[in-house]
Formats: sequence, structure tokens, C-alpha cells
Amino acid sequence: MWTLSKGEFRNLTGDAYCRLCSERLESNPEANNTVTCGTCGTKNRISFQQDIWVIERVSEEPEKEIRDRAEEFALLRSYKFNELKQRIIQSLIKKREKYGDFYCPCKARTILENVCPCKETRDGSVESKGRCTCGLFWKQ
Amino acid sequence: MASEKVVKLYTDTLCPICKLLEQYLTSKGVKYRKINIDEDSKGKEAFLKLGYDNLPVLDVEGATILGFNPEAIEEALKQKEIVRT
Repeated sequence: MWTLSKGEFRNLTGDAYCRLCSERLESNPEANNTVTCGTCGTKNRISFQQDIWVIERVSEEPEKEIRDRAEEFALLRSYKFNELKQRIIQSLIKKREKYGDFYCPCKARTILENVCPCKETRDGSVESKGRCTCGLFWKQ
Repeated sequence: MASEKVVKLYTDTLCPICKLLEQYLTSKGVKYRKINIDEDSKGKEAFLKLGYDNLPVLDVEGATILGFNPEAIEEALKQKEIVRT
């Protein structure tokens, strides 16, 4: 049985879940590993601290962090980018500077489900609308 | 043809699609009142009361259009006789 604590996101069966989208991480992570979420592309670091498994989002230089995540997500879903990409990446970086996370620049609320790639996008809005709300991800 | 009818645009400083919509409205000669929810807390409150989260939102005399959708905007402007073609 795992001991739960603040900052931890691993359930009693030992499964590990992404700190952004809450989906189960596909691999069977070991301590001190970095695992990229197969749903949203977020990098998660897993560590074992004082007898507690802790999973955290890997924090990197902002542009690298959001660019890597967006590119990984696009790869996972076979989406493409267009000329808006650089402007949107810069807007996401400014959102992080102002509000503490990469909130979608085309959403009003600063809540976890609006962190890029936002829940609406993870739930398949690109498939139905051809692009995500802000125009970062486009259907092939 | 532009008119004095009320068109409100809810936007955000960091929203690239909002800027594209502003350019589109300007190119059509549409006068609009811009509500930047990033700088206007009362405006943000009013926007959230509309029940939306996504930006931009255009309010054409009570008819709201979500996102940058030129066809829907054109239709609403015609219906409200804000742009005559």
C-alpha cells in the first residue's frame, strides 16, 4: 500500500498518473525516472522521498518546456502546426509569467483544465473542429 | 456600412485569434466596443456570466458568436443590419 500525501499522485495500486491530465502513465515508472505522458505529452518526474512516491511535472526553461510538450502532443495525435505556432508559444510563456502556468491564451479561466494542451483539446476538439480553440494544433 | 449599433468584442491581450478577429472587423468597417478581460475585471466578470470560457466572443446586439467564424459573423452583421452588402 502506498502512503498518500500532498504532491503525490499515485494510487493505492501503484499506478502513476500524469500531473497535468490525470491520465495513467503507460510505463511502469521507477524512482528518479522522467516519464512523458502518452495522453498530453507532459514530462513527469517520479521520485521516492521519505518513503513516499512523489510525481511532479518536470519544470524546465519555459520555452523548452511548452515547446517540447506541444510538439510531443502533436506527434501523439498526428496534428500539425501552422504559422500561428510561434505567436501562441510566446503567448503561453507570457501566461506562465503572469499566472504561473501555461494557460491557453484563448481561455478566460486560469484553471488546470485550461493548461495547454487544454482538456477540450485532449478530449478531441481538433478532430471535430479542425483546430484547437487558439489555433496551435491543427488536424492533418 | 458601419452603424451605431452595439457590437461588443470580448478579447484578451495574449489571444492571437482575438487579434485576427479585430483585424477582420476593422477590414469590414465594423465599429465595436472592445472589452479586454485581461485588463478589465468588470468586463471579465460580465464575460464569465455569459457562460463562456473561450475567446474571442463577439456580441452583435445580443447574438453571440464564439471564436473567429467569418461566416457566422457576416450573417449576424447582416441580420442586425450592421453591414449591408
